[in-house]
Amino acid sequence: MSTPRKKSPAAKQAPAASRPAALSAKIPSSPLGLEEIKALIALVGREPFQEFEFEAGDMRFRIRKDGPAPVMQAAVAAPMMMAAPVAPMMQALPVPMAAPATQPAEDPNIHYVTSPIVGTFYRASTPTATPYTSPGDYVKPGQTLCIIEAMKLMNEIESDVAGEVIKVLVENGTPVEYGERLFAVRIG
Amino acid sequence: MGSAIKRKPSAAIATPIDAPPFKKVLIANRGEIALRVILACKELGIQTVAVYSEADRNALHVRFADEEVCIGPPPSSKSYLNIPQVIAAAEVTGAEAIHPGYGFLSENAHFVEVCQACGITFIGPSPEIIRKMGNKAQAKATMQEAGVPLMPGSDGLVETVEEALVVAEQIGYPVIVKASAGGGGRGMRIVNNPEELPDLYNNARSEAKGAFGDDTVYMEKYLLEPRHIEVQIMGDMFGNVVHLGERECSIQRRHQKLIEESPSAVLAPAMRQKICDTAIKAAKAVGYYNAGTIEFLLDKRGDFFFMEMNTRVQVEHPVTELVTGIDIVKEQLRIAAGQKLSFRQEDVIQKGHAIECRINAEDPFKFTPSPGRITALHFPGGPGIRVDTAMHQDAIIPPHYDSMVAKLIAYGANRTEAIARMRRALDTLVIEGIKTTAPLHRRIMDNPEFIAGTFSTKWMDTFLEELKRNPSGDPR
Repeated sequence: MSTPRKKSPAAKQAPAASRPAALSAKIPSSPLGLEEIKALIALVGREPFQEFEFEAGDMRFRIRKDGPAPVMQAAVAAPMMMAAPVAPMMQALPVPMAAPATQPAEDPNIHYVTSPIVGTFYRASTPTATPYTSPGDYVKPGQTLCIIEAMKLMNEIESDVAGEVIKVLVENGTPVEYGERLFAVRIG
Repeated sequence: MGSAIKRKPSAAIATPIDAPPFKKVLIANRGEIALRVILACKELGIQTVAVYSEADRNALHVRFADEEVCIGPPPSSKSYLNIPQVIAAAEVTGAEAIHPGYGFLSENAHFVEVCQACGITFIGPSPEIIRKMGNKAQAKATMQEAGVPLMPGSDGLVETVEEALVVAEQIGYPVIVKASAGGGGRGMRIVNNPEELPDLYNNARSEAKGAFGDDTVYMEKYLLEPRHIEVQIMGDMFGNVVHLGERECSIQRRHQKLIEESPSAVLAPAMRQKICDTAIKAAKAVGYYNAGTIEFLLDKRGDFFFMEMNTRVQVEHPVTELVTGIDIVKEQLRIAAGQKLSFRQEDVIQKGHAIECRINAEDPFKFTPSPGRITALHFPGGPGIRVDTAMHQDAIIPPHYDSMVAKLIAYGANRTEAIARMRRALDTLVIEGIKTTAPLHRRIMDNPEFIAGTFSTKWMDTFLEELKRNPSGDPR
């Protein structure tokens, strides 16, 4: 999860080769308005490709569907923003699409602790106990953050980084799948 | 906030016609068979849960299931074969039963025991049956006891020429002498009569010594032009077992089936009856329930011998479905829910002829795997064509799993019509971006021996040799 994510092959093919008809109809030569961008995001969400890159004049942005290895997305996004001196609205992109829940904009200093197994997420050892961790807590690598119950076994999930927990992303008692984000931790 | 295990809007909309055998079933598989099970569940009004690895995030079984759970990274050992993950996925979604498809966990007795311990119904036979039929020695012993013919051979090693002569007399010529450590044809001799036996026996031993450092050998009957004939059976938990006729699967390469058909082009009705009755005897001997297949080798003289039993749904089940009109997967679901078989033996009538071609993502003549992205896709349709696949435009064939991308199945009133339909189906099949074995199948459909039905399990080797000599020539 900590290796930089390669551009998916879709990124190279999708804009030019795959759907030229659909895209040319939607892209005017001048910078896009809010409605056009919304339409494009919806289009990318519907289509089978993972990533969509757009360039016209001095405007350039990328829409990427949310994937499992997120931290590095910000690294790709950063130079793009510098190269795109357009309206602030543009800088909110990339917009995660088709994600289970809306994720915050990617920040290289934020690490996501993900679930290594399928099971039920619990923040504390018993229903009445204090949660292992809450937003604002500083955690160390190896520190237990939560429990995931699978096959009647309680599995302690440990932090793999040091930093401040800024958000708990899953509600207590709900099922999680492999690779699902559980906590956002600000590294440091 | 919220969970990635999504419930889709389609869930719970369909009103079932009859009471469904289960409320919710998890499919512990991927690809076309996962989709096949989902289709059967949809028809029965059963909710479905797909499990998937990270490599299959965009797969159709994930899209068409009512719920989906990512269970691990791409390697099967960490996802589709990871028992705790599969069970946990059933638990968090509340699935009552697990359909294993074929491959992966489908013949894993331990997995069935874990399902039972967790109160989940396994859609398949009991762990005892799976163990009994999965262990070669035990399966043979069980079959012998039930009076099912086994391949005659020496009981263990044959240590002297004198002993070899006695054994050969018992099992009948021709016989084959095989190295215990053998493989690749080395340390192997076919013996046609007692006169040539001493020399060939000694040759086999010295060759085995040179090749494997082990000169022990055993003997078996040598089959002339053997054909792979298997019988589809179905049994319920009340002791009812019926057969759904045979399938001919002799077109194989390295024991991988390429083409299957039903009925076999060579079985006369009396012979068919005999083989199918034997298959029922074999299934009853183990108290079998669920769908299963008994595989036989049939030789030129009409002798047939038990090879093995598969205790799951087979890749090639559609050919049987087309000629009998019976939905094998739906029947599996009903049987697992404790229902009686929905038909009797006299209701099973083989009508017409069906052929299946397995289209693999491989070089059609070199058989090197060809994973990648599908850039253009068109599947044939029209009368008598069925396509079982999980492919779609822009689908990526991951390198982690088996290479089958589609099963093309042609049905006709007779074998000639089925072949004609398969030809035009192959001609109108488009899969671009990867290499597939479709061109090889097209060549086979034009081959006079295939058309005449005169082939054995060794036919494919000869055919490929001919292709090498004449790679671009007109096959007709």
